[in-house]
Amino acid sequence: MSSILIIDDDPVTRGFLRDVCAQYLGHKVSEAASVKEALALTRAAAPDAVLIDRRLGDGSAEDYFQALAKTAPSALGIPKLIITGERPLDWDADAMAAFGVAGYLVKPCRLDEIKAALDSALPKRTAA
Amino acid sequence: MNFLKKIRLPALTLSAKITVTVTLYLALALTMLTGMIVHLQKQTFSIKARESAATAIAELSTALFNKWRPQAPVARNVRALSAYGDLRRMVFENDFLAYIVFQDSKGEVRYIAKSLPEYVWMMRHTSFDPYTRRLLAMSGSAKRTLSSYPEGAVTEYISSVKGPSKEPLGEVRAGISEKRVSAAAGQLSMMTMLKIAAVNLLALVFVALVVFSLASAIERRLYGMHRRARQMLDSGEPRSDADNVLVHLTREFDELENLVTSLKSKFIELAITISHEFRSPLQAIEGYADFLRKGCAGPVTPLQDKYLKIIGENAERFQGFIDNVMDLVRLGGGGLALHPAAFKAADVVSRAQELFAKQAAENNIRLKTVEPDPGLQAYGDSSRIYQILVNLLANALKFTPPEGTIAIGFAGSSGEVEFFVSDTGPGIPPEAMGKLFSEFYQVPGVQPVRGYKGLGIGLALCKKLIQAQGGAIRAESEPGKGTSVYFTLPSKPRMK
Repeated sequence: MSSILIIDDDPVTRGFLRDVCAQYLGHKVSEAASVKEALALTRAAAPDAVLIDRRLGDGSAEDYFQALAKTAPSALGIPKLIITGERPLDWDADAMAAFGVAGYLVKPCRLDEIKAALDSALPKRTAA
Repeated sequence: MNFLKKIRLPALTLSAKITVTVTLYLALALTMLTGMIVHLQKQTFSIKARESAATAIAELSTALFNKWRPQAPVARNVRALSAYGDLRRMVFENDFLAYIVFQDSKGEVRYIAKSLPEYVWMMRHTSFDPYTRRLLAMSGSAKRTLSSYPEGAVTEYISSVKGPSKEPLGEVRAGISEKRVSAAAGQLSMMTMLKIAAVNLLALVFVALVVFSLASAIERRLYGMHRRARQMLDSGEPRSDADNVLVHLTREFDELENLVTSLKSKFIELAITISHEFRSPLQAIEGYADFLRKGCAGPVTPLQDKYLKIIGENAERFQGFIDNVMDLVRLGGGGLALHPAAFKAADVVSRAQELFAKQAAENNIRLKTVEPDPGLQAYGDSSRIYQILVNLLANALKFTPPEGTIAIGFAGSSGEVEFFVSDTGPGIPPEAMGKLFSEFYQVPGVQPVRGYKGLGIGLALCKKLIQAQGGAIRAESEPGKGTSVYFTLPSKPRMK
């Protein structure tokens, strides 16, 4: 069992991700609805993995990563999965890898996709 | 360099378009007219030929009537007639007449033929078939076609001749060579055609010049007005009422143009927002259906599982619609970014094949890949090529019955890579082939074997995606046997 931080401003999607991670995958879950909450929780709880929506109410996933890089660089090592609504991704892959982004999931994603993505992201951290 | 400034090319493109259109239509009309004239002329020739036969017969009959001496032996009579110069001249000067003959009831014959082979032939053809004989007896004249004539078919006009005291003298026969008629007509038609073509060409050039000068004069004036109005708008107050109208019109045009541009971008923006906003609810619907089916909220009965599966599939289907419509909107508005690069054709093909391998096996369909060269490179946006292949495979799977075969593969040839997906489905009727790649078109009367009917945008999207990458797409189908869709990509970036 790992601890997972879910960051999404849409309560329904957040609830769904919580149900999947907690009930289907059996992880310990904490939730944040904004970049601000997410930063606080990341620093306080140090999760094993982060699932984050690309667009958030008070910013974006990129904003969260950059804030982490400034305030808690050690948290950059936590594997992060981005959940996004758009198929083509125009981000800089190297920069994302530096932020600890292990992959992305395109909404709507299936349970097995979430499981596979988390499974492959989590051991990396144990190994590191 | 001064004269270059005077030519305003963009200002004249409209005039050029108008000129080309008018000239093309005129050329079409003139061509049709020429065809009609030539046809009429050919008919006139045919009539002329028949007339010359009739004249020859009449001349010879009159000569016989006037110069026949009943007391003299037949041989002398006809010998005297054969020297009849007018008749001889008529045959030799006439383009269509091959011969003219008089033969008496005993078979004594006098001929005026143009050549020796014709003469020899005439000796052998003095008798009539029963039908012609009957016609002659009844009406005094007949017509027959003889194909054995040395020069090709001949139409022969026959007329019975009577002497001054009504005694039957024999028959006059005039032969019209069909070959000569058509040769003469053809020669003259060619001459006429050339003449008309020359006149037409002159007329076209003249009309094109007139239309162009008129159109460009009007167009220049319009552009001049527009420019003047622009200057007035930029510089300050208009000077007269006419200027006011101009300024007003220009403002209206500008506003209209801005409106269209902003509506276009608003539409694209709206479509993107909708597509984005739909994703979260769809995630919840599809995700929770999946969640329930996995038994995360307690045991599920088989019937419940079936319904949950339908919910999940349809959420996915809805998402597919949105994705495809979005791509179409972006392709239309130029907002779709393509990332072309060199990639291995075999990689994309096997990824697409793997996606459908399980589904094909479950439905007892053979899904095979055909890769002649595993290292073959293509140039394009590989994620879009994958999307096209997935679209085509999904289509093939929808329509291929169990025990059928779907093949996916590629082949390289002369700077191109051709991908294909073929199936052994019901095929596409020939009348539907032309519209296959049109937006919102669905082949009528064909129901999918499994899965759901689409919106009719999958293939339209494929076409646009492939065209945007410098390729082409086509389909081949035989009803009852199956369908193959082929699309090409360059194997290297094209020189710009």
